[in-house]
Amino acid sequence: MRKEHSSEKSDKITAALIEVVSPAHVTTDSYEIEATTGDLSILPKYHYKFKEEHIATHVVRPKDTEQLAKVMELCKTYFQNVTIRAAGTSCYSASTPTKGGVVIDVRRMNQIHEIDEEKMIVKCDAGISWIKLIEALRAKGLAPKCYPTSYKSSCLSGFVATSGKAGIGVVKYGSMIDTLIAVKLVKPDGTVLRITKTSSGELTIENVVGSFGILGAVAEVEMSITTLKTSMEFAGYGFNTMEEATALYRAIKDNSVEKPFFLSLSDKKFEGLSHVTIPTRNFFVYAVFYDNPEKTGKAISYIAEKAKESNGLAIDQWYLEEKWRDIAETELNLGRLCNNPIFQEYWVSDERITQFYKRYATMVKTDKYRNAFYMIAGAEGKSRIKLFGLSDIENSLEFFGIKANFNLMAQKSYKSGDEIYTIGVVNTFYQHLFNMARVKYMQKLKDSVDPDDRVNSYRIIKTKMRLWRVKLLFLVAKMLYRWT
Amino acid sequence: MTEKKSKDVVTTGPSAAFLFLPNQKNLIAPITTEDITQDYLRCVNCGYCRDVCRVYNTTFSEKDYAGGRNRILKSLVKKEIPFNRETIVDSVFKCMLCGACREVCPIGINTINVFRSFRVRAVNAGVMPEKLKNLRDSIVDYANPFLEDGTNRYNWCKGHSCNEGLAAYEKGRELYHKIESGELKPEDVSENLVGYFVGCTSAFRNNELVSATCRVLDAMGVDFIVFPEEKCCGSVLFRTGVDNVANELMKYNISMVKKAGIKEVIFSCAGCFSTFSNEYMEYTNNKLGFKLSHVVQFVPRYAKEHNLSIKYKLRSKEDPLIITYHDPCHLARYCDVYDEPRELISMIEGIKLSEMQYNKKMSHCCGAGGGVRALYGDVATDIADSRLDETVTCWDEINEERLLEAVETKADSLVSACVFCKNNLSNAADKYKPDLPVQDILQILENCEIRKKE
Repeated sequence: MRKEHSSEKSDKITAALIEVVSPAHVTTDSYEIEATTGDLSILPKYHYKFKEEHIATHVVRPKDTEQLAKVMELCKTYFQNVTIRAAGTSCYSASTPTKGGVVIDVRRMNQIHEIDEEKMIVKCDAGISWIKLIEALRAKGLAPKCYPTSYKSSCLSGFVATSGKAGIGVVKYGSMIDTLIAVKLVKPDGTVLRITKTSSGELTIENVVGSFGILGAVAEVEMSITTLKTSMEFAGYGFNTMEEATALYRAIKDNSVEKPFFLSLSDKKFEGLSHVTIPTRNFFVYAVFYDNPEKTGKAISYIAEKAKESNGLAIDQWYLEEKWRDIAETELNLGRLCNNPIFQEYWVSDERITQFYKRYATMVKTDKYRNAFYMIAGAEGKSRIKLFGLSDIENSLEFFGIKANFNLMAQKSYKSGDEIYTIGVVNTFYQHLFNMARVKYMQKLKDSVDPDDRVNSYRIIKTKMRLWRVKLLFLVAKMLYRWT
Repeated sequence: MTEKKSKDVVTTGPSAAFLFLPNQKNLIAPITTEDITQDYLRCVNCGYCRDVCRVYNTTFSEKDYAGGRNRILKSLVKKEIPFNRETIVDSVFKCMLCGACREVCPIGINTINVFRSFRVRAVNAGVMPEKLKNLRDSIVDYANPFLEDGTNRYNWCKGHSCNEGLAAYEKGRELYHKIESGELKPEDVSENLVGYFVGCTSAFRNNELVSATCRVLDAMGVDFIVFPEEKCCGSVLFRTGVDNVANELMKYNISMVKKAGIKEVIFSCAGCFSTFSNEYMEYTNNKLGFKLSHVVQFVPRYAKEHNLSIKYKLRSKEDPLIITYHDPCHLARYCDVYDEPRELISMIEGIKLSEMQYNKKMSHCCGAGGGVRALYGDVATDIADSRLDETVTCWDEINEERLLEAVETKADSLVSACVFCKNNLSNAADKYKPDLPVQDILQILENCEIRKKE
């Protein structure tokens, strides 16, 4: 049971925060803290909630950059640890408090400051949800260039902080970093820094994107946008082998004439775990093109030709159209059959997709849990592969056995030159095992802006779990699972 | 009429407001729990309910939308957080039960049922906001939530303030008298005679609506009575978890209608209509024994059957009043009544409908539902105000085709078909937007000329 926090110091902090924000948006209510503590994850709670002493004492909701800066400064004055929370949809504890202190929830910062239709730029608060931004732009015939498939619940600052390398529009227009023109960052000491594409000061845009908030809170975003298009066409083909499917997937992705707006490759099990009628073959490549009719028409013809070369079987248009309507739910739908599907996301070079899949296929052949494979195209010649295991924490042997498999896949991926897609808190130890160069680089930046390590601690530069414990846990889990 | 033509908008699909609907037929049916109170355990924490929740969008508190509330409930059940009598009230009662979250839930959790069942549990455990206790006591003592003496229920038609209503009331008394004296058997009552269930709010507070209803029905030539011994339908009690009292009222009202041999009951109150259509229907296993119609259903049906034309006297076909229709949760998400009110509006010459972006299934709640108006007045007003903001950019045409040509329009008036929506939205309009009239559809109809088509 959690103890009520009522120390004198806490009261002082509360009063100071209220002065900056407002009584309605500063709380020490244990229920609110509980609801704000974890990620909005389909994963079971143990995955993102840490020990009692790590739970926050305050939740504060600033309404704009100025208030956010004052709150951050105040937390420094009172030596408060800070967790920055946006939509909380990372699934890997990116918004989970790890050292107590104050949770700064930026969702109230949701204003669009300017839509410049001539320069095709939008300036907005980073806490705005993607769906709200999409709606506002749409009313003017405009659209963001890229956004995550979780756009119905996630918000801008999260996509920036977690790197935004895979999603809708990424292959066609580039990832979040390509779209950004500038960000306003509130540093851990409360100073506000406007960082542009060409900034070469203490922090660059490259430093901020994918920094998981360790350098401060992204408060405002300025990014390039595009116009709504006149034609959307779909292509989908089924294949007997992963090699054939990958050949088409890569041909679509690498086609310089017309890039897909969205591209995915899934196995039959993934489609079958949420749909009644599914494509008959083992693998399914799905592409969406969005431009003028001439361009999308050409792209569809090109794919038809390429699919023929790979022995692809065309999928019915109704399935393809429904899949687009379903695009945000496509992963969530696995929750229709299982309360706690487990998953891990990998960031894999397009050249190593088949190699990755072979490893995975061998693994699941031995361990007969319900599994699924889903991949979406990303930037940098890579794709985000998501492996699912439909188990439940109640069946702990299977649950941790599957996690051990995911760990094995992660280790092998890193050794092959690939990595985990979302780091958050939970996956930070992989950085320490396999990417110390980045850890050291980020540590240096962190030391310069937050030497006391108060803000978003235990992301990237410091692990929450001890490495030997993680290794031992997975080893035991694997053995027990195989044994039973 | 203020109309601004914007450039043609071409989009990839339906308005984002509609993107929320996971209505694919090819999806596997989700696993479900038999015990509705356990359904929250299936929550996959997708967060869809957060963006559609009007309370969350006002308070920005993670505990104020369905997913956040589910997280608290899960932790409470596992005893990870202490049970706190005062805080739990907010978690359970700061919700309008509007059902927007139910519409968007990708795994089909019936959030209305879940949260309503938790209210029942809370009330049974003695956890109940003080204001709600007063409401319950008033209904127990007076059969209405306003602490009004039951004898005042028909004051609205006494003293010739509404002669049409008085006539229907007297006709109702006469009918009951005949049945009680054995002069008339219930089964012999004319099929064409309909009973008008007025509802407490119109009877005690919004007399203009009950008068308008009676005048409209009379102008259409409808043969109707007002039930002379009506009691509260129990809606507010069902919504706030006080089921035991509500059940008694339900039994009384069912028996009251049956006793009169009435085959169709009409309502001007969306809350009463919804309670009869849902709770009363469920109680009787869908064998209520009489038909239910809200006036927005009854009027267009009756007008078509009797070849009636409806003309708004204050404007013309050439210069129509631009109205936007606010779907009340009780009629819309609770009873699936979407098309009939729009059909009715389209029948009225001199009125033109322009839709707000969030309409029908994704309509934003006015903020009054689920006891929020009574318990959290400021939140209810803020929610209503944000709904009023939507009237500035209505769309003449919202369809689900891929290509959409839209014309942005500012509505002259916001119209609803629910007394609670009208009151809460009017309240916000008085405070923030005094130039925007908020009306009930009956007030529009009252200003119409209704006659046989030539």
